[in-house]
Amino acid sequence: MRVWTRLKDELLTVSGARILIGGAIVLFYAFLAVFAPALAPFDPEELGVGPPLQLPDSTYRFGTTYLGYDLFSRTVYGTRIALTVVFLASTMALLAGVPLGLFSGYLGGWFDRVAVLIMDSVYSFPDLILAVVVAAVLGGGVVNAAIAVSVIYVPQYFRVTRNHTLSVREETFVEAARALGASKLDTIRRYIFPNVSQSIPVILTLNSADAILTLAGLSFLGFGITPPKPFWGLDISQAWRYLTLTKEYPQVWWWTAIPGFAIVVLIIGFTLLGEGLNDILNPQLRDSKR
Amino acid sequence: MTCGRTNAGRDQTVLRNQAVLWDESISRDKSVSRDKSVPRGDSVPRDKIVVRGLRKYFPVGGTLLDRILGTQPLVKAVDGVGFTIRDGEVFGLLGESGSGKTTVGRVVLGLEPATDGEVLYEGRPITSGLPRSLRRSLQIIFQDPHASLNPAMTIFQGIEHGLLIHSSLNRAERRERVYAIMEKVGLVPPEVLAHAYPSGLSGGQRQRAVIARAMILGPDFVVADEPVSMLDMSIRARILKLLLDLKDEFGLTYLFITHDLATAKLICSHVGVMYLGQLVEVGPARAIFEEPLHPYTRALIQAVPVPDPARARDKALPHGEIPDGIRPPSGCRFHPRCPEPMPECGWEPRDLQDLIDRRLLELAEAQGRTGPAGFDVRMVEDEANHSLMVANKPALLRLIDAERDRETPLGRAIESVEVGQRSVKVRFRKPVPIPDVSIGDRTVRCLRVARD
Amino acid sequence: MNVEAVKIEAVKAEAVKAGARNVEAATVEPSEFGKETVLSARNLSTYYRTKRRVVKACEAVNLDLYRGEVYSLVGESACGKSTLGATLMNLVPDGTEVTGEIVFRGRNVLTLSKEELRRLRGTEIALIFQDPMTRLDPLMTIEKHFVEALQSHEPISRREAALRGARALDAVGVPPSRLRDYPHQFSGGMRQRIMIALALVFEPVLLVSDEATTSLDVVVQAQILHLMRSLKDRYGLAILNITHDLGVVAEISDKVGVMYGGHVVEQGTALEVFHRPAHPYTGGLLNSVVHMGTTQLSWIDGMPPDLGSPPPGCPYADRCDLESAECHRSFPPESRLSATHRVHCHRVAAGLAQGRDAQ
Repeated sequence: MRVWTRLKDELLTVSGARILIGGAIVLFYAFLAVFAPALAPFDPEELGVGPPLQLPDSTYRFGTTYLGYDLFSRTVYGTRIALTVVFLASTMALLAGVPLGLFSGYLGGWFDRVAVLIMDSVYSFPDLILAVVVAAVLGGGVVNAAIAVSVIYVPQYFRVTRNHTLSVREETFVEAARALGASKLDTIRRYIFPNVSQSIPVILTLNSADAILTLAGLSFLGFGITPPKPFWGLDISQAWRYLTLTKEYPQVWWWTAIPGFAIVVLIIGFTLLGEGLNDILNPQLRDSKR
Repeated sequence: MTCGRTNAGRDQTVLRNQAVLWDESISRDKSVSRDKSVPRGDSVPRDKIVVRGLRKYFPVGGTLLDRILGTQPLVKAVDGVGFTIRDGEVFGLLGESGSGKTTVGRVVLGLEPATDGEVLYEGRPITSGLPRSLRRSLQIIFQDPHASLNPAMTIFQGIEHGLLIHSSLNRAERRERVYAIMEKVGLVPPEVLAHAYPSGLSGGQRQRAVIARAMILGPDFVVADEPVSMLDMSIRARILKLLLDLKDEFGLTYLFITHDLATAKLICSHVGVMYLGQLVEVGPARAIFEEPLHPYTRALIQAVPVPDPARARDKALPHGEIPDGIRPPSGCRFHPRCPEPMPECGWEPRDLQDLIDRRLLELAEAQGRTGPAGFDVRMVEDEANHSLMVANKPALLRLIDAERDRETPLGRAIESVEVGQRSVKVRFRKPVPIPDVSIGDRTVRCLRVARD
Repeated sequence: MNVEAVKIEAVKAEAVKAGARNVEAATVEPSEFGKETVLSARNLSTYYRTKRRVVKACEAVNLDLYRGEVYSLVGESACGKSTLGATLMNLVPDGTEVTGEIVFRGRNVLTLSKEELRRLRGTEIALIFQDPMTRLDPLMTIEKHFVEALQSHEPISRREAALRGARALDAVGVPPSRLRDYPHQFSGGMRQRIMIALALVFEPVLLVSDEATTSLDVVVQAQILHLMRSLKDRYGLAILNITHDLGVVAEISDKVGVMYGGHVVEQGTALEVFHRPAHPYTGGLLNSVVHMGTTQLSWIDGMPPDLGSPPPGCPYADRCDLESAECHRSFPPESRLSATHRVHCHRVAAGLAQGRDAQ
């Protein structure tokens, strides 16, 4: 009961509103992804379900592409791919980056130095180029795209976790654990990790926003998700290629605008959610704002 | 060979006995059974902890090159400390912050490796780290109850963890013990408080939880590092009482680290007064508080506020503050602050430097300048020759002459003053080492005491 | 019955009508003879309103600060002493309900504008806190602190400002050569001295110290207390000293106010409060201090009341050994034991009434 009233108070603040709006957007996309088969009138991967370049109307609600794909079905199904890749990539990055950061920060020494060196070199690489390299090596497909995207984010989880670990390590209660005779693994698991983990949901959501953009970019460049899979970045890429050939831009606005809109709204959703969580989970920041 | 085997055998028996004792650590008659392990009629208490020539240096700051080459400046946090704590004593380690008393406690517990020296627990060396089997015998209570409990663990989990590490008790047994120790330290009702997080507890309750966490392992030696200084006045007495009750009940030996001399006087049987990494006076508490011999001990006692406005008046306080331990003052480390110094206490060029610094405004005005900016004194210390080069300015010369004429300790420690064209070279006498003097069962490191 | 008495009766009746809890407080206090009042508070209450409850952090407080006197507010944590300090400076957060009157040298603090208050606090009133590092900019030298502080209040050259800074540092025992140093290069005690020096350049009349010596070591604490005492004598400062440490109070105070549950339950000269404590809480608090003469530990059982839901009567009744039914019913009226010594306790009030009847 008390938890609920506290939660209610939190949700009425600015950060609460952010979480509500961001969460609603993300949930809406998740809904689309889950019920895509019921919502989409056509098979998104089937050619020529309608006339080419049909304007949005009652049958083809978002219009069709040059090859007669139904853009509405493709946009709805694109949600599936976007969320799957984001989920897989974030999970993989988290599973690799967080434990590494914990051990690196707590143990220090040569292990820490080597880990930092590797992570920093990965981090200093331009995101998209790194993803392109990995995707080119691995080839297309949802899982490979997720791996390519996750590689970019491992250093972020690593850095945040390590920095947090470094400060928590100096806390008296960690020394108390040593005085009790707790093993290193036990100390990390029971004393460090629970106090470091608060910042993970924040990076998770903020990275998700970024991951969508990376995935879109990757697909746009022809890596990661490959045709005929329905994905927004891919549709924009094809529309753009078509446009550069025919220069019919004003007439086929829907082909780029709708997938683009889908990307932007989902990114906004994740960002709002992440910022809101950040305000609530990082009390220090919150106190300084008040 | 045979002899060695016998010894080893005896050690094992002791260990096994302790394991048994510890298993009964919650039961009330622990102190009784403990007595059995010590032969009766043995009136001389055993040495619980012996510390000899303990040193702990920390590298600080320095440039990147220093760090790579390992030539960083060292803070001598503990610089040659030795004392003995006998079984059942409350040994108070007193001093201001920066005196190194907390570091001593941490090194004794093996939380920090010693740079040099040795620590013995019941005759066994533990300097190179505490064996796991001894962990539960030596415990610590920290100063800040807010920082020393894991915010992510409930009180129950925090107290229970030690049992998880050191025992093979089952869930129900562990719970029974946690509740029992919580009751013992006054965390009642345990059923309710056990599932609270530290953030839901008051400062006093948290400190009780910290004490419970240490006590559940059944230690016989506890380092209490300023256990009440962060607590509200009205809670302090209650926690102190709890610590004393636990000592009586479980036959504990305490290393009680504090800057509060009034508390130390009340509960310690022996005290050691630390200053800048060294002990300046060690002995029975009663004797030291009745007749402090070292000027620093006297100063600390004087500085304790007296809760009586009729008696609270000016005191002979030491000047300035405790300097840092990178390059401690030579001779007696307390000499620059000492209210009653002598010329032989270790006066050195730096002291003159400090004196000039303190008088800067006065000096500037004597030169007809306003502001310290107008009076830039360049001073160069020649450490090897115990001398200081200062600019040849009349005001400075007058200051130095005045010190010599008035025969201040600093002035009398000046060996020669060579007036050059642009600079003045002030040479000091070589400092003499300060001996430890034993008076009765007390040891004092002070030249004045040594002379008397 | 003379006219004066009638007047007082009328005032009292009005106060009762107005719902004032404490009838005596409504009468006008004569200022102590020959002393310049710097700040006085009358019937001052501070309530924090949150959505679900009202925290009565400070209730019907009357106090006077005079030039050249140290007034110490003492009490356990969460007794309202820091709130009272903040209220007197009008530093409470927006939305806090403050009623009553605060007069600082003839001006009503509660009606001053934000800008006027800021000027007042910067110049005539100086504040020092437990952690000086929060008030010092780590990126600025001490000299720059002085220059910025002085230049924000008066047209003054850098050089002149630095010189005044040097003099102020000299006065508080910091070598002026350290003007060019940064805050982190100083110890806690030195930083506190610097804070005092920064406050002193404006020649304030009131210095408010909120637990300023609490985190310092005994020796440094004694030095700072000595410094505060000498500054008080030298500049004729009024000092409001908020602390939980009774030893500190005894060291420097002329007057002492003991706070409990949002009320100043006893106030008087330091000698009166320490030697003849009238309130049972004051007595208990004094006994719980561990000092060099302590031979036995003693304390007050129980916890201070939650200011969000204070008990109806005397806030101390639940912990008091001498409580009666009346104590749980109503907050005790003010009893005057001398011109300066005042206490809120039913037992004292009853004792006084008996004494009057006997006469």
